[in-house]
Order: sequence, then structure tokens, then C-alpha cells
Amino acid sequence: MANEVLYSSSGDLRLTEALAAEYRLILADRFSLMGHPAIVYAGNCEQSGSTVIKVPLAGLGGYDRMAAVNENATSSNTALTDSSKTITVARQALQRQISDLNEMVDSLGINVEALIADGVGAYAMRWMEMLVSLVDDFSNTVGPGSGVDLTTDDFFSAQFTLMQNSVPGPYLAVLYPVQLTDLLADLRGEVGPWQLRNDVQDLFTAKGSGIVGSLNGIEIVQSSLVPTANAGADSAGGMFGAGAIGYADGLPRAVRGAGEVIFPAGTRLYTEIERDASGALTKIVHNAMLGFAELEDLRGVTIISDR
Amino acid sequence: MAHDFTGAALPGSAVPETAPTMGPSLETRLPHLANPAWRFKWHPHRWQYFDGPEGGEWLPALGTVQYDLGVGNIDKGGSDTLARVELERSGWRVLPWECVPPGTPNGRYIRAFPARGGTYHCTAWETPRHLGGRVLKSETDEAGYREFLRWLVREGHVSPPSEDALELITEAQKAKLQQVRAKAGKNPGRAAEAEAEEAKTARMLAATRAEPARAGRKRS
Repeated sequence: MANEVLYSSSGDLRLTEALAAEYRLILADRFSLMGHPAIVYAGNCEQSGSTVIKVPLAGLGGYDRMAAVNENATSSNTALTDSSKTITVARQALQRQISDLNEMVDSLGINVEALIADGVGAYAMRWMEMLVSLVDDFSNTVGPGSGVDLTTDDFFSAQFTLMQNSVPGPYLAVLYPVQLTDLLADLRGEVGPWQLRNDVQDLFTAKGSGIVGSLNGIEIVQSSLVPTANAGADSAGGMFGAGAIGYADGLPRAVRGAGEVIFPAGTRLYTEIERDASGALTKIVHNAMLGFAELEDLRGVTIISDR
Repeated sequence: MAHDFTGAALPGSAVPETAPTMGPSLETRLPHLANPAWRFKWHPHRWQYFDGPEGGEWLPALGTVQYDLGVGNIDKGGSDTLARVELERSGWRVLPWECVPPGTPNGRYIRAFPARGGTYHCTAWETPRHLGGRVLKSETDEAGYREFLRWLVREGHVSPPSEDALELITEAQKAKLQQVRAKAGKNPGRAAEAEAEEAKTARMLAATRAEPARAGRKRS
């Protein structure tokens, strides 16, 4: 036969490639602990006169105990122990610009609205990045040794360190993915009553990133943002109780002269849209004022193991 | 005859043929995500035991100060003044970039590479690796890094470990050994692990006893 209408000869009638109906997100760590009660919110610095918030630490609520005094003896003053830590807020930003031509031909939803919505995720992950970079800051460390895989014994060592320092729970453990899989691998060899606990068995259920479960009531978070240690040979994850790390933020009182400003609910993010008519461009700028710092060193422990 | 647009510039115009332009290739830019510059910091409680078949040694477990605006009191302009105050109040000491043994490449313990979104910073003993655009674990010169840690102690940039600091860590190791022994008691398959941990603990305690007598150290 001849003159078949083949795909290969229908170049004018067919597309080389067609876009799928929707786009997929590239693989990345998208989990944030924003809103978790273990992370102290120290407040905002709006109209405070400074970008630095001082968090006072007071020795009250049982820090000093009463002492026995004779019936007719005179009691004396007990000094109040106090301390403070500071959190400095700085600007965080993400900016994108899209042309009208590109916006016009969009068929997927990669447009101005998508770039605006992206700000919330970008803010949440920046929040997480700033938090996780501090888990290496505790003076107490546990671990199996440089280049050695994390074991359940090291997990218990971290827990015991916090317990011995009278750190109130709940505890939170932030581990690099390899640290977590090493822990799971060692968990497989556990015997005895501990292996029969529901939380131990549930930890093996694949859950992706984020909070992967709990052990002994300690929530375990997997994050690829955990910093390195020992010249990249190891990861420096951490375990801490509430009050170990805090953050502060702020929101400008009024953004004068702005075109369009969006304040996504539940965040301190504000997004401005700026128009460049002569270039036929729309600029989307996400801004946030955020700061993180360690508040009390003894409330946390750094876990160093093979990366 | 149809006009031939290939080759020489169009008559009446000075537009030359140009080669297509490309962004930086992987040969000049790492696929790693950019990260902030940092400095090492040291705390008298942070020590780690590096084991070896013939015995081990205690070396400092350095932390890092990330020069990331808003993290750890690095302020809006990148100043670390308040950060250093807070760190020193907590017992940390920040080490300058130039605090390295003579002969260290570039005279600093930090290296920088162009990377995705900016600059990737790592230690002088790391070589970033990637394959097919995928980021791999960096290659680490562990021996070189350990020698750097020894040098820090030897030259007095870091004080030698105190008995109290080592006792905290060795007591934790003994507690861990108890756990391992208990597991081996229930699971004979972990007996080898228990033996290894016993031997490591013995070497750790021997290194602890030998620590005060290590020669060649200048006390700061």
C-alpha cells in the first residue's frame, strides 16, 4: 500500500511533545516543624525598638527550694538566679519574575498565582533550615564514633542525657535520613520486650520525610537539612526538649507604596507584587523577618554519627 | 536564485553569526545547594573518642557558627558580634579561618565552590562529589582532619580535655556498654558486638588515663 498517513510524516499536524495536564513537584525535602510546640516562639520585634529579642531565663517555679528554719529564727534572702539569651531577627527573601508572554501561554498553572503560593512553602522550609542548623550547637554530644552508624544504644544515650539533666518532655529528635535508616537497621536486631512496643514496630512503616514516628515517646523527624560534622564524614543531628531552641519574627506595620501585598494566614510572610510594565514583567517578592537561637544548652544533645 | 542566509552576514547589516551561549556547566559549578560560610567553634565539653585497633585518642568535636543571617544571632548585616558574645558566655570559642597548620591549602580551613544558587562551603579536608548531576557524600581526608584537630590541641588553640569533661563521656559509654551486654545476653547473635564494645570501652578508658600525660601540648 502507499500514501499511508503516518505519524512520522505528519510533522505539520502533530506536536513533537505535549505537556501533561498537570505538573509534578521535583523530589525535595518539604517538611517543616513550623508550629511544633517544642520550638519556643519568643515573640515578634514589631515596634520594639530593636531587631534583637532578649529571652529572660529566671530561676523560679521550684528552681530554689524552701529550707528548714528554726521556730524563732530569722530567714534570709535567697538570691534569684537569672540569665538571658538573645534572638536576632533578619530578613529572609525569595524573588521571582515572570514575563507576560510566559504567563499568557501557561497551560499548567505555573503562573503568577503559583509563584505567589510558592512563598508559603519557601518560608516553611527556610524556617526549618534555620532551626535544624542549630541542632549541632549543644555542648553535650552522643554518638557511636566518627564514621560509625547510629544505633539504638546511641538513641538511648541521647535520651538518658536529657533525662539526667531533668529536661521536661516531650522530646524531639531531628536526624539526617542516613542516621534514621541506620537506626532502623539496628532496631531490626533488637530483642526483648522493647521490640514489642507499638511505636517501635510502627517506626518501620515507610512514611517518607518529616515526622516518621516516635520511640519511647520521642518524636523522630527526618530532615535532609541536618548539618555535617567532622569534615563531612558525619551528620550532626540532635535531640532536645521544649525550650532548647526558640525563634522570633516580625511583620512590617504597613508596606507603604506597594502595588499589591499579600499576607498568607498562619505565617509572618508578606508577598509583594511589583509590575514592570515596560519590560512586561511581574515580580513576586516574598519577604519575612525571622531569627533563631539556642535558648538553653542543657535542654539538648547533639547526635553525631556516620553520614 | 533564493537568497542564502547561511554563512556570511546579511548584506547591508553588521550582525555577525554568534555561537549559542550556555550557563556555567557542571565542570565549573557544583550541583550542591549553596550554603552560608561558617567558622569552627570549640567547647570544653565537646570531645570525641577516635578509636583505633592499637588504641584511640581524644580530639575536639568542633561545632560551626553559620554566617546565616538570623541564625544564632548573626545580624541583618552579617555581623557576628552578638553571636560571639552569646557563644563566649556559653563557653564556646570561635576559631578564625586562618587557624590551620602551615601548609594547609589556601591557608584556611574553609573552601568555597560555585554551586546551585550561590556558593557551597565545606572544610579544607572535603572534596565535594557528584555523579550524573546527583550529589554524593563528600570524600573526606579523615587523617588530615584528625591531624588538624591534634594540631589545634598541640598548639594551644584548643585547651586539652579536662578530666571532668572526659568523665561525662566515659560514664555515658559505660552505660551504653551495659545496654549492649544486656542485649547480647538476650540475643547471642549480638555477642560479637558486645565484645567489640567492651574492647572499645577499654581502649577509651586507657586513652582517658593516658590523656594528662600526652607530651608536646602547650596549655592556653
